[in-house]
Amino acid sequence: MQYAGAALGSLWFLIQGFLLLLLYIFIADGIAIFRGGSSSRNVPFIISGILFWIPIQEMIQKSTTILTENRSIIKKSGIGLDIFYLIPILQMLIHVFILSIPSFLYMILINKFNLYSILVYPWMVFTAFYLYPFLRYLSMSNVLLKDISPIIRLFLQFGFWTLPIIYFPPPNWANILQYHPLLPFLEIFRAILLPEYFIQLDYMKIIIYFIISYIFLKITSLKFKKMIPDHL
Amino acid sequence: MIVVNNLTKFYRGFSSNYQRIFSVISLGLFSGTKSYFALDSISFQAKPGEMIGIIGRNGAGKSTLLKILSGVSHFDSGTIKINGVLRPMLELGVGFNAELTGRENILFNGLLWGYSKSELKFLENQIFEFAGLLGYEDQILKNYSTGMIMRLGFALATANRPDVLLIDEALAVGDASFQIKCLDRFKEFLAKGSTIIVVSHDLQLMGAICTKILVLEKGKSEFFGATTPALRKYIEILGRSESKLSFSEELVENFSIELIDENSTTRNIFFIGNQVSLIFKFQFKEKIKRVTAGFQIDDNRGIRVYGINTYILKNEILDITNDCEYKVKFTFPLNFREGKYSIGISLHEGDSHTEGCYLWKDAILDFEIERIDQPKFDGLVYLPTICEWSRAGDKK
Repeated sequence: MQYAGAALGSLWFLIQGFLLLLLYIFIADGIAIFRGGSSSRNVPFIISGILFWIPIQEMIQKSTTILTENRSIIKKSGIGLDIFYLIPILQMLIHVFILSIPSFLYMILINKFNLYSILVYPWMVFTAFYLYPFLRYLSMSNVLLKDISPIIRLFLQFGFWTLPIIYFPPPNWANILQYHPLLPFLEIFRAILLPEYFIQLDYMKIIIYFIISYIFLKITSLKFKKMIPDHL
Repeated sequence: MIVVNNLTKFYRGFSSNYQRIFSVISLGLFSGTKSYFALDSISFQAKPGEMIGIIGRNGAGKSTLLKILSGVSHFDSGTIKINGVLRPMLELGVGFNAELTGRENILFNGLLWGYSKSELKFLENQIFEFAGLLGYEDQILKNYSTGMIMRLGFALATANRPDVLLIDEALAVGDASFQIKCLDRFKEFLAKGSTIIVVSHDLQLMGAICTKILVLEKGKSEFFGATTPALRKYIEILGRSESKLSFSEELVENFSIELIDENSTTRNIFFIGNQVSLIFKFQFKEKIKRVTAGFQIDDNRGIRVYGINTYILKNEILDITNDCEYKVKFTFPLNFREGKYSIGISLHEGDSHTEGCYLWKDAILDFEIERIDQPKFDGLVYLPTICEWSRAGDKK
């Protein structure tokens, strides 16, 4: 529906993601080579990071405006808010699937593809499940504060550079970056995609993040959820 | 069937942007300091085959009530019991995409109305036929006129019969013939056992088609029952509005004008045939020998419906002094057809303002006339008419 009337239709979705993937690989890999590193060592690492980050970033941005963009439908159709929170998640999963095609093709080419890689899809569903309360909170906050998109874009930039997506973080940053709420999800995603990628997984951290996410969902359901339709 | 019992909705708002930010930071635990009852203990019941009208002034809570019934808004206390499939028809054409064809819009938008895909495939032809849009199915919506979109929206929203239908103003759309089709469809739904709840400002239509009417005022139920007393109650509420004006001019000061009913209540909505009084009060700054006070009533198209003055009525105001207030009262019946009217006033010399004008104001006061008890009639004026007939040569 989003691309209705556009000359290339939903093909834009594929082209946009594919070009972004190429651009990040080109820049990051170029920098690595310039510094005297190895190209082939960098590319799978960058692909896995981008394949995780771009759909997540799109999902967060889309979630922020999903209620305000569909204000008239929500107010006039009676279908409720809940279905709208799921739209960015569904789009994210489609995005992951589309971006994974060239990524997997590349992995096959360099002989690093394994069948377990397709587990990234359920893992992204799991990640979306974890992020759902925060995404819902962003959608609702945007209704009250009118337009928080510029701040969200800023936070996303911050999130991008504080996660090891296109670069290996310096060892002295690791102590701080280990608390990034998306880091364990990115690390597991990478481990699924790259056979030789080694991680020391702190399961406790994931459990704590999920508990925080659940408490967040419960608190925002107390009053926030109920007052949003009145301000839409 | 729909049963609403003691429904209460408390609205919480913000008096500043800081409060909004604080509310977001506190995850909604702080919900603003501005608050009022949007709905206060509303109760009513609608049985199958009944059409319930909801009327009230702006801000009375009509749309809030519909939004709560349709599940868009939450409520704080009370109960709502709805039996069967509910379809809210709060706005026609909402969610239509201008870049998609009529057929595609029916398919995607139909899901919003609660239709299944197979149902939509089955109903597609009927929808276009009802909307009078056969042959336009594969045109993109931006090539449709507003009227065509409304017709398509209505045909889609009413393609099959829901048990409970909620309508916000979209009672009859399109041209006159399509409006009749819309009303016929509602009658068909009612006959088959649907319950219809409708919000509209069209009192005449509400009076004609509703079984009962709920009158809301500032979130409270003022009346629920038969249509004629409900409409009277509503007019009485509207009558509480001020229809009074005062100002000063170069020669005239403390000029005030008001339109009152037989009970001396200032109102701006009346029924056809109501006896009203238009009262001017004014003071002159100078002594003047003779003054004519007059008024004229124009309809909403600017057509002069009536005009008269104290000169024509042979009741000129003489020997005006500058130390006292003058009051002029015109009493007359509002035997005009229903609609919106405005009153203009003048203070001048002689027969008309061309002889010397002290004050002239066009459309200074607005009022409305509604029809409830009178029969439908043609033309600008209502002449109470008695009709008798007899037949000659009857066998005794």
